[in-house]
Amino acid sequence: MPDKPLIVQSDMTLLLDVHSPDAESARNDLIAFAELIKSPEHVHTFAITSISLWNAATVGIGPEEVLERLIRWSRFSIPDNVAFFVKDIAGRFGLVVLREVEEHASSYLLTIESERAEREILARKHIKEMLTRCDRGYLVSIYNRGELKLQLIKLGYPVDDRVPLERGIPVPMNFKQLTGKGNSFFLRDYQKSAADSILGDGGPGSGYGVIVLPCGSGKTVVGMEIMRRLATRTLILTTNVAAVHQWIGELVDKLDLDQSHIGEYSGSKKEICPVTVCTYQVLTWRASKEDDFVHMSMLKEGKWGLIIYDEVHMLPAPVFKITAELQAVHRVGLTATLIREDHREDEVFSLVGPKRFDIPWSQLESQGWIAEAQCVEIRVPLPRALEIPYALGTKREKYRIASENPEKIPIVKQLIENHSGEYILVIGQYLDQLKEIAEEIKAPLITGATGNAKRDELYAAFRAKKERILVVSKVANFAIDLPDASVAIQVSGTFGSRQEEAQRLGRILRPKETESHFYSLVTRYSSEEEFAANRQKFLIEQGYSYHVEVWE
Amino acid sequence: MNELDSQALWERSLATLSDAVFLTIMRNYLGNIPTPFHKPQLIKRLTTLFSNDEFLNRLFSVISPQDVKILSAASILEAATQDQLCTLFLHDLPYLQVQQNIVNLEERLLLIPHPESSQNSSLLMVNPMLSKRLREQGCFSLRALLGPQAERAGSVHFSIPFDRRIVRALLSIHVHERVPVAERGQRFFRSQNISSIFSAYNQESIAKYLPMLERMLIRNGVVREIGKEMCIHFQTSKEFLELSQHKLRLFILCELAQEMLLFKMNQNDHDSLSHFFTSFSVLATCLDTISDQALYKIIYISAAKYNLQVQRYHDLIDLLTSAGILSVPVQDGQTRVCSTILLEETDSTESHMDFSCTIDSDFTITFSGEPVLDNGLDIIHMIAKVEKIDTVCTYRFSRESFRQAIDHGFSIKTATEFLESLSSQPLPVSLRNLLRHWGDESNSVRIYDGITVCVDERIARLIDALPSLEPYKIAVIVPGIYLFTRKNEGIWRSILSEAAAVLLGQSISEETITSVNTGNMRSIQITYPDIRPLRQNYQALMQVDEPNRPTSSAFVEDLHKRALSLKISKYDLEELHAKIDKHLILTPQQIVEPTVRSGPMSASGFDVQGKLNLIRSAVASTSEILELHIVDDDGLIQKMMVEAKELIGNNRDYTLRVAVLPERLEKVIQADKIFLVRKLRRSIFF
Repeated sequence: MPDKPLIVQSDMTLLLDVHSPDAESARNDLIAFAELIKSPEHVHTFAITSISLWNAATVGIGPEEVLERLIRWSRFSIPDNVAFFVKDIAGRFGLVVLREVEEHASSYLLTIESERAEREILARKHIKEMLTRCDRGYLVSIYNRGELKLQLIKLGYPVDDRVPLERGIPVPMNFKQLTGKGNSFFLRDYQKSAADSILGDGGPGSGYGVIVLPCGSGKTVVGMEIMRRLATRTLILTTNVAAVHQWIGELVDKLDLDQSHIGEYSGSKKEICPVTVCTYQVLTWRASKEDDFVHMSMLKEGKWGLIIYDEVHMLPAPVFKITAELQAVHRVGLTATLIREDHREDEVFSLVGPKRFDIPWSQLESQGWIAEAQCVEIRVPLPRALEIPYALGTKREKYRIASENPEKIPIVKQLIENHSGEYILVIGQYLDQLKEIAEEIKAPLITGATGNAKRDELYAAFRAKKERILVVSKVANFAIDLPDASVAIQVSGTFGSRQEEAQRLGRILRPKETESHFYSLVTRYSSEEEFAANRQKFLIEQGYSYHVEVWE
Repeated sequence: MNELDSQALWERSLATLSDAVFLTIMRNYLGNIPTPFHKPQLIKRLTTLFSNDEFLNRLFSVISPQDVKILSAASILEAATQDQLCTLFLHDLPYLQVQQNIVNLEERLLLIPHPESSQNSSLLMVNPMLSKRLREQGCFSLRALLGPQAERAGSVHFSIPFDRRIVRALLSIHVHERVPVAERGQRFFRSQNISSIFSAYNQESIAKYLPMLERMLIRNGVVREIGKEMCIHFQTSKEFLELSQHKLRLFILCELAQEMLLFKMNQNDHDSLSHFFTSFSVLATCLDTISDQALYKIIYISAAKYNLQVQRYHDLIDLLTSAGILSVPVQDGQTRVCSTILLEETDSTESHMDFSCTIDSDFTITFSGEPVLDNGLDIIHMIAKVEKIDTVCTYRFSRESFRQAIDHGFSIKTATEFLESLSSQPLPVSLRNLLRHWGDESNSVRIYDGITVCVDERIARLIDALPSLEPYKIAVIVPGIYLFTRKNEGIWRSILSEAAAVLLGQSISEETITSVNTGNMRSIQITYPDIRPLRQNYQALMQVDEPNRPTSSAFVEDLHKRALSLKISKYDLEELHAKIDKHLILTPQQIVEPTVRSGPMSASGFDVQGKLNLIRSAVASTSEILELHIVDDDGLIQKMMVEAKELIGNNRDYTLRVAVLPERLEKVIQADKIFLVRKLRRSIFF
């Protein structure tokens, strides 16, 4: 009987049988040098990549150690090419080193230990242009640090960046013993591990990276822990004003910072403080396409010691360039879902930092750190009156008709009745539909048109249990913390967006005494079914399964 | 072989000799032979000589290390042509040296004609009278033949799984993708989409071999053209998948070898090929490591043994490495190893016990090993689409993939039961529900013969109401059953599918069922040779150390002295000494005045007439070849062995058309370029 938990495949993927008694130990060994790709119910998939190997190398895990761990856990013999790849790729780390140069304040020193690597690097014109030969190697402008690292990693030569990050202006801060709400507060093990993975030993090669944690698992707390340890001037970038307010609320609640040291930089306020929370939107605002991004200077010139990119998968393209120039600063990306429509995940890793921490949703669920959630897809028949308009419609029209199926409304009402006493979010894509639902069930509605103040008021009311049901559009997809929400009823969504589905589930994953329920209403025999199947893929890969029911 | 049989074979061999050759041999071994002669008597006398211990001791004592190599090869091949034996040593020694060594072994009757030789194939065999003693003397040695083994190789195995995994994957592609016919189909199998399934393997090899495997499936009726697509014939595919892994591997290798024209063969002969691959594997696995020289010999021995002539050596190596039989040296100078994947002897050695399957919540089926199926029904490829073939195989099922299974006649119930039989854990309830929903959907529309459409109420309402379907609707037979136009099937299918948001299944027809699932099946024939006798023989030969041969024997000196004591001419004396040196004379009784000169004749330099005479006598001769020393344009001497084909012109201005040995490349040589001509015997017997 096979009893070892791991299967190593020739394409560098690792399959971990989670039911094996050694699965946990094997996982702990693997995560140091392999990335988690998916974690359905029985077999979790990891991948060994160049970046994951180089990542491991930065913390002293070399190719021999990697192979030794693989052999220890592998059910079958390690494919020859995997061993070859590990030795070859991991061996490249350390060939190219970036160091400080005392006599050149505006440059760094790049050394290349291998002649072959040097030839290959210098053969690339755009890289060569960034290098100036000197007696000990090559000088690189400090402003090109990020771009150079990005280009070299694309070429297959990771830079061992030994230039220490700047500490920035000190801003002492600590967690409060009791939170603002009077609760005792403690850091969870995985939150500590996540913070450790970023900060490491504080030496070169540490202080930057991306943390992937499920929704509701406390990424904000991880961010604050990193802030506390670095105790430095911090800029936090997030997706919208409500999220900004949420961050500020958490900072005030849990850290002993003076409120005057926390600023909001958004459309309506322009406060720059030792800790500033800002939206991506305001940073990338400009009067017209020909104008500059007027607020971008806040990012560049703020003398930050730490930048936190909340929902880093949303990092807008214009911010990439500036981030490339901010290589001297500690940087942390936080997200639950690493899917980008423009496929620039690699650049996120190169510029913000590599993925340092990832944990399966199912693991946190089993440990009780996120709520257990039942996912149900309810298939709703299309009324006869709409069958022909649907059949005659264009693809977009078909999707809209299916999404706005009026038969969904009674189901929403029934579900609300089934979950009386629970805190419910009704989430959708189409405003007319949401308005109609809100009117039917007599619940408040939050859309993009709702003012920030009103949104905050409604969210606060929900949190205070004064409102039991909220009807929300996609403005509530990200970063909105509603701890008591235990039921989400999704009536429509953005086509096949996996990210949106995961983020919406995330609204109800804060741990609580009862199980959470996620209902996705899908019109039967429509294109919505197909899109729904795509939407669910990410969550299915995280171990969630959808129970399909037909509403008769 | 017992003594009587050996003797009988020996006598049969001698009986095939022409009188002239027979007489020459007898004279050499028995001294003066008066004519007329009595053949049976002479054979009896020769047999007595070759049974005499003292004679045999002398015969064996002068066997050289090179003799051992040639005899070892001849022993393994059992019956081999001179060319086959020469080819084996092409990388070791000059052709002339090997060829003349073989001729010498013929003269010494260590190699004799095989009784089954014909005009077209002149076969030699080890003298059966001597086989047993030669074996005892350690004159048959694989170690001697293949050379010293190198240190353990640093090579790696990169292989494509030429077994059920790849066949199943190809079948799954056929079921779940639209594979075009002909050349477009071949390109399809070289596409990125398909090669990504096999990303674990060398992509160049995948691009090369996948189309060939597809053609193999077509040739064997597993896949056939129906309309504009390639479809699988389920029964034949089932037969394919029922072959044991090693038989299937062997079958695939034989098919690929034929397609790639790796061998010159008399006919499409799977048996010879399967023997070749098996023999190769048995022989190669006797060695811990295989150098390039040894590999060459092993391949040529295995080919010659089964009357195959290697045409594309490097392509053959590529096939063997791609199949994982041979490893690939990582660096120059490293040696290879041979795996045993072709040598499983019974099905029970296969990894049934290692089968492990997981059906996961993301609709993937991941398994290693091969399933043991109670009813023999292997339909993983029918219900799920292949995603990855690697250490484990990954398939993914979906609404679309189940649709395809239904189209091929499998019910949701069958599919569900099959999934349950695969996995040790019960299927999740959510998955069961989903399968049920897919089944309901598939039942909502059925299309027969491409024109009769049976639908449920909902779809009937759509068909009745949609103006875009009107042009294609011929009639309403009863509510829910419609007749549509056959020639526009593609168009109305598309409209209906979009409008009703259902996956429309294949049209159910008698023709389709007949051709897809029944009809003429080509039976898969593959002979799996019994490897035990081969293995025993080779392993025994491997145990024989390279024998230490004496560099000289005392009796040889004695023979030379005896020759000197004869009152004969200088030339006759030279002839005798030459024969002693060539070990043709082993006993004092053989020292008699020679009647014919046996040594090579030569002419060189200004002896133009002499050269011309030698050439003329060799032209179109089957028993003689020429050694030419040619002066090239830089004034350097180039040596070549040739068959003289045609002499053009006369006297000093002739040109000579030759076939250069061993490749037999034709060349025309000017007279003034020929510095030396030496006439040599090609063979004593032929």
